Amino acid sequence: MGEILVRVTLYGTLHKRVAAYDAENGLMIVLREGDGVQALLARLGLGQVRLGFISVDGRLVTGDAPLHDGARVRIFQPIFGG
Amino acid sequence: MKVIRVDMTTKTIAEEALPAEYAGLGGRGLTSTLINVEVPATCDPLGPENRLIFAPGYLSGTTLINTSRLSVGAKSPLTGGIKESNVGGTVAADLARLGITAVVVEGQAPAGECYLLKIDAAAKAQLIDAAAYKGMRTYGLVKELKAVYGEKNSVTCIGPAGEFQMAIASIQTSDFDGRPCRAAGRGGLGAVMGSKGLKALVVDQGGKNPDTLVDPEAFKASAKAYAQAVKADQFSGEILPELGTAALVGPINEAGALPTCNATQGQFAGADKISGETLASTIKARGGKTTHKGCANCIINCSNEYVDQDGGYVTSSLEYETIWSMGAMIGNDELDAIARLDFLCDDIGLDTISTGVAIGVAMDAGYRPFGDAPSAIAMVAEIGRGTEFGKVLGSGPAAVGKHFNHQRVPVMKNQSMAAYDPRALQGMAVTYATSPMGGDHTAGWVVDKNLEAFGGTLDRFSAEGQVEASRDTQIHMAAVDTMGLCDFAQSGLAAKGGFDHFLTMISAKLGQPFTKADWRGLGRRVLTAERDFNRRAGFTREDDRLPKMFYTEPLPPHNKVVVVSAEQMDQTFDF
Repeated sequence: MGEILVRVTLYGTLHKRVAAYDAENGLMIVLREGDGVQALLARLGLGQVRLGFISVDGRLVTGDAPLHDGARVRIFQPIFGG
Repeated sequence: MKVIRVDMTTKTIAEEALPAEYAGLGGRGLTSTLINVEVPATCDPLGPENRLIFAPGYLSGTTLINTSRLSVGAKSPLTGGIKESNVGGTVAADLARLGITAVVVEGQAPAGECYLLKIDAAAKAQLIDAAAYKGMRTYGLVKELKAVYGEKNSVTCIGPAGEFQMAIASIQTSDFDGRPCRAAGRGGLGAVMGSKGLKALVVDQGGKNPDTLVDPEAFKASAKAYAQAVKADQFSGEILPELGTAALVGPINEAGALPTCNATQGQFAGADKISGETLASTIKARGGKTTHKGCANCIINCSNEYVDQDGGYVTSSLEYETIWSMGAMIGNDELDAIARLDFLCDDIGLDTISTGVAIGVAMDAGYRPFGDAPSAIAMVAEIGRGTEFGKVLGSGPAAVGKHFNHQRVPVMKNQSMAAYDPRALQGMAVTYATSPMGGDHTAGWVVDKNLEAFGGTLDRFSAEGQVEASRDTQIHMAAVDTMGLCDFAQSGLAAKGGFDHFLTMISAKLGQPFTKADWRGLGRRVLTAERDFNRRAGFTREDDRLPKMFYTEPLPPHNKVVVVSAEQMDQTFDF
């Protein structure tokens, strides 16, 4: 199994829950080839955290979306507006 | 439960008890029902027949947290229909603690005359000549009025734009720190205030005579539980205090729903430079304030104080809608410029949303390039000076479109849309098109219902279910706006048992049971009054449509158009 490298950006107050997070540059995470969003969340310790939506390369994804080498992942919290 | 009536023609003031038919109403419910009864629907919005009504929410002045919304209502010079615009700060609580349910301003002072209305600690109102304050901007005005009448007064006022009777003029009110940075922005109500010859409403903050609660113990218990729920919620208890409403920039941009460069795109390349995260880190690095209290009784503290590189005050509070209208919508990714534009709008007395969209339309027409922040600042300054072009801008985006013969103008009932493009969130298309208020996001915010990740069940690119979602939310919001509850404290309603606690508090004040059915009935009553007024003002179902651009110009990156049909729009108020 090969490895893939993804870039992660956290929004809202999620940075408080990921100790190694660098607000300037985000995080580079190494995963196994074939890993998806759920594996990434588990690696970040966000598996049990209430999240809003997740995007991969600018597209909103649902469920355990696949990831590829070089993917740009953004993770958002639930919002309410007015 | 006292109504103060001010006749600007005769300079007389009268007091009356709130008529029985308005019992249980405050805020938007009271302003809209009063306007529908008392204002001739076809009158000149800037003439003596129009009435400008200030009404705290039904629960304002109580111990319940985040109930400091003041509704301001009148016939709008921008839309030509009924208008309610609500604002935070302290004035709603100040009025309610004086036992004042509404201030109704009617008639018109002779051209050139200028007055302020002072309400003292005994809830007595007095009209005072304010000629000395004519032409003043709001920050300077508030400073002078507080020096004369004391720091413990709230000031609700207009700036030059209101005096010029511009259709996008706001009414500004002082925040918890006494700065006139809170705006009843939408619909040009500042112009109505200017047309009356009323420069300011100065209200003593020492009131100790709020409406009596019939069951104070029940109220107290539910108020405590409600506050705990708001505090425990992730968005209102954690995200808003840290990032403010600017937290919305990132997700809405990522969803492809952030109108950019006059709504020609749904994502802004510079979004990360103006995001809530960047805003918070910039403010912290410069020694400004996040987690700032803007309104009385607030426990969320979503406000902020934006400072310059030397730590000097620039503006408060920099909010999502303004960051969008003065940022993405005009292609500007400079936070410092957005903050400056926000301050100028507050100081001149302008709706930041309509002003930004007016600038966006001008830029789209080729007047200046997108992203030219210095030109945007110069354009707002022109409004403040009342130059010929400034008057065009101050008349709103549709007037700017006509001036340049430019067709891409994102307005509904002549009022600009807000920071959610309806092509990427079809539910917002319904709200924008059908709200009696015109293009208005707060009237029926259904973004959450359109995004599965936020608990929504609707396909945001499909028409299915959107009319029902908007209808439900518009009914709900009409009731929320009647109570004076802050939008963001609605997290308490969503919490387990939270809605029941809220109904308990209404019952505890009203002295009779108030059920979920009553809540829905209240919302329908308000919307029905508003729709009735608009119908008599000449609106037809053809006014419940979006501009052509939303049906014919696909919005990148999803390249969708609005697919909700006219027939579907017409079912929105089938209740």
